[in-house]
Amino acid sequence: MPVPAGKGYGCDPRSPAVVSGPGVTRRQAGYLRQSDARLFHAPFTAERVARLDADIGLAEQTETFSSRFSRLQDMLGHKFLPALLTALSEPPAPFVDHLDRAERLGWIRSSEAWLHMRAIRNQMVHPYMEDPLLLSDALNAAHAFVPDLLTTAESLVREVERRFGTEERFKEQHAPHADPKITVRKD
Amino acid sequence: MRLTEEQIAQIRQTVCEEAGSQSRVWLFGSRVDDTARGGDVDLLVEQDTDIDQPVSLMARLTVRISRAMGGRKVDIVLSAPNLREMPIHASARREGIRL
Repeated sequence: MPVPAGKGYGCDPRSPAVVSGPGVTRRQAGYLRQSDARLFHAPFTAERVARLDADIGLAEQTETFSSRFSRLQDMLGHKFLPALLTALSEPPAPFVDHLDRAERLGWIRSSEAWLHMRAIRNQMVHPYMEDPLLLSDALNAAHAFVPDLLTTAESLVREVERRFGTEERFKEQHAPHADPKITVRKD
Repeated sequence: MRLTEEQIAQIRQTVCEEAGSQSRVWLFGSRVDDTARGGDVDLLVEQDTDIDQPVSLMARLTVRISRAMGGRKVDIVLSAPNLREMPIHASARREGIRL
């Protein structure tokens, strides 16, 4: 089922099953790579930020980069990672514990770096971002994290492929209470 | 103010290490209100010299202070000569508590 851009499934515990996985991750990673290459052919200076009001094309590219960066990061950290850990029979845990686990498994560079990247994402979309210097600095900081984000995306996708083979098999495993011993088939 | 002595000491220490010993820090927002409960930790960090990469500094402060406070949400606002002065800076200085 297609998911509207930027919309989540709220409190539905099955949301990871719907909106994360290798397919959507590879697509979103590809979109971010494109936006990143297009926007950062040159460093994002405060002068370029000053042009945003007049240059609609540049404003749209900036907006697109910012939302693709945020969306991929949110999807990986809050959906794909918990879904993968559930599929590997890990008990539910707070976000930071998931990050620590992902660090030990080599899927992310470090918990610290991930949290840092998330803080940059929050700054980039912050309502007080009216200072051109802060906005250009946030965009450049996010740009510097793009390789990290794409590497994590690839690590999680490879892990799913290695352990489960297909996306369908993975989704069966990380649905809540996916234990075949207790799942009642309805078909 | 709803911060423990230990939390204040940790905030001061972290700000000193990341932003330098000359920087000043204020607590503002709902944590100043003794009658409120929970809530984010809003901090204004001010210094008299330009900050080269302000967003990375904000991110480092946010991550370290949030971790020191058991994962509480932390919001940092920076003030420096090279950053634009916003209404939030003035209200943080006026209504906040210097740590």
